[in-house]
Amino acid sequence: MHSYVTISQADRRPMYLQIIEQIRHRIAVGDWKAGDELPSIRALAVDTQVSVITVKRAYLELEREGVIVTRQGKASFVAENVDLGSQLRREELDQHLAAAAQIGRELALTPEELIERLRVQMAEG
Amino acid sequence: MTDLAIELEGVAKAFRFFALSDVSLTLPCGQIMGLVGPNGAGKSTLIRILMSLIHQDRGQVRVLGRSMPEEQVAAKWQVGYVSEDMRLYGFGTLGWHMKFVASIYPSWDAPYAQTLLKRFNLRTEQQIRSLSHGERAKATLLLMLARRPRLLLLDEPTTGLDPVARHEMLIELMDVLRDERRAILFSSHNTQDVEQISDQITFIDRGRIIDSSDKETFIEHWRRLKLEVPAGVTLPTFAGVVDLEVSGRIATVTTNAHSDDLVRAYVNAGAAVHEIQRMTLEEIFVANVMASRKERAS
Amino acid sequence: MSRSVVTRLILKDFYLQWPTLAGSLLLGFASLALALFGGGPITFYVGSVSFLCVLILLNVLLVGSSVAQEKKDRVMLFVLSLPVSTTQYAVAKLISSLLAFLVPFCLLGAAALLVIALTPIPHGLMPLTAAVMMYVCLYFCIFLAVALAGDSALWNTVVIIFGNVTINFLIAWLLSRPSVAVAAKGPVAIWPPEILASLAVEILGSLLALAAALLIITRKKDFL
Repeated sequence: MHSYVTISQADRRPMYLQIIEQIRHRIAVGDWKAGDELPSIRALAVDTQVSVITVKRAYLELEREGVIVTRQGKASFVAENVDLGSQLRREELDQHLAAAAQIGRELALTPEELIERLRVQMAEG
Repeated sequence: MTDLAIELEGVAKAFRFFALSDVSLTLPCGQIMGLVGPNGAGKSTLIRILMSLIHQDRGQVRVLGRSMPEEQVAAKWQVGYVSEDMRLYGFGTLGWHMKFVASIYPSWDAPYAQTLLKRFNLRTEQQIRSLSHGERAKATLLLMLARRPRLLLLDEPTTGLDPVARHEMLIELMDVLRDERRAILFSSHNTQDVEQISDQITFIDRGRIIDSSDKETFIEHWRRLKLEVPAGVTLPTFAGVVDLEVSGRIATVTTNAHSDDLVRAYVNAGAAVHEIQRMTLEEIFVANVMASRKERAS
Repeated sequence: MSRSVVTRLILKDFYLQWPTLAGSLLLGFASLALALFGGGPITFYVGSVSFLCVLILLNVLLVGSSVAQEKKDRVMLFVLSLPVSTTQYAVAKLISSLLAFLVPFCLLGAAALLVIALTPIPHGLMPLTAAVMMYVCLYFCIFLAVALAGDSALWNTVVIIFGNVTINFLIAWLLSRPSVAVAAKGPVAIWPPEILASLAVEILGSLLALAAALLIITRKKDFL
């Protein structure tokens, strides 16, 4: 029995976010293709040793984002036409921006000052 | 029989120096509840009341739909109980214990028992008194798991175990939940274990339930806000703030009702938000207990 | 369904206690042989004292390891996790302990009395033997009652000390009665009033102790 998902204790992000990210990753690398059935919430919870409620939350979130589809209230499938590529990258971008915002706060920069610096960076690239 | 594995309503029990008061709890089938509390909070007492080892002074106790203590024998056919201070017969072998339990429970699953023996690395010829603490805990758990009880009541199952044994135990406990008609209630000080596998979490302190909710709600509603408070600004009190600590220009707000509105309210009052931190279950637990004790003292 | 669980508990206790039973039977018979066939007052004395000691040891070990230790070591928690009520557990313990004691007790007692009856040993010894042995039975019943119905290791120790000490008083008192001392050496079994009174108190006391234990057990609300 292999774990589809592993929770890291060193990762300070909430568990449901870790699950979401790993499921998206599996889809992104092609392990789970459009139309494939995901493990049931309970099965994933047991295999990963994470609360059912946390997996449920992750699945609900993924469904909200259109990454998966739940049919008949029981089984979940990878959504057709899922375009994760750019979505993953956008997530990555958000993470970097969050880090930049944090530093900006510590330096007591205004959003405008931060945007100006970003403009400089984009112009250079 | 019913959808609720555990129902406690207004349960109270008084001892000479300690009392459980007004305990009400429910646990639906298919879920795990972690019971967290400091030493002496009443966790063991609560679980013993569920097992009818102690009879409540007041209140209703129902386990798998059976009223306790009147229907305790009927309930015990389907309930498994392991407590950290429980011991087996030292001069008996594990094999003897297994045969003994198997002779009583028709639900004993022999192949599963063998699987557990391998997984826990135990042998039937071993005498109980020759086992280490961790092996003994696993042996006691095996005797309970192999008969597949519908409800598991565990009093500090991972206390005193090394990380490997703990991990093995958590795997087996989660495995029980494959069947959504089963449920687990376990008490622990190890908030990490509770945080990882519990669906419902209940905090208990000095004989009272101070908070009970599902795990994700706890995690979403509790935050630590780090604010910068300029000179001359006093922060107003807002509802949902459990603790406020000011040190120099930095204020640390602990809230159990986090929302964007709250953050905006502080910003409008003149503070700058430096950081919004999530809290681990341990931090939530300590903050909750401290706040409740302060409230009770006033 | 759960009546058979009680039976299984009783059988389980027998299985765990059988070394004690076997050992006490062996040592008991050996002491008896020494006392009655040793051929002299010294061997008689040594043999009868060790015979008594074996009975007392049986009593203390049975109640000590089966009842008191199980409570102290929390093995009781394991047994109570099985489908038995707390009352059924206590009753099963009462029955298994009683039977485990009575079997060797009756065997050894019967053997002692029979040997005296069938040999040239003065039959006058029989009433004295009976009175002293029944005292051990009383001691056992009180100890069992206290261990089962109470929760205190202290009280258990008090009973042991009390029992061990007072049996000497009983023997001394009985032997100081002239009617008893004389009759004991006689060829016929005579039952002087002191012996009869002792037996009555012992038998009644045993039954009362067991009844009181049962009453307390069935009303107990907290088993820990």
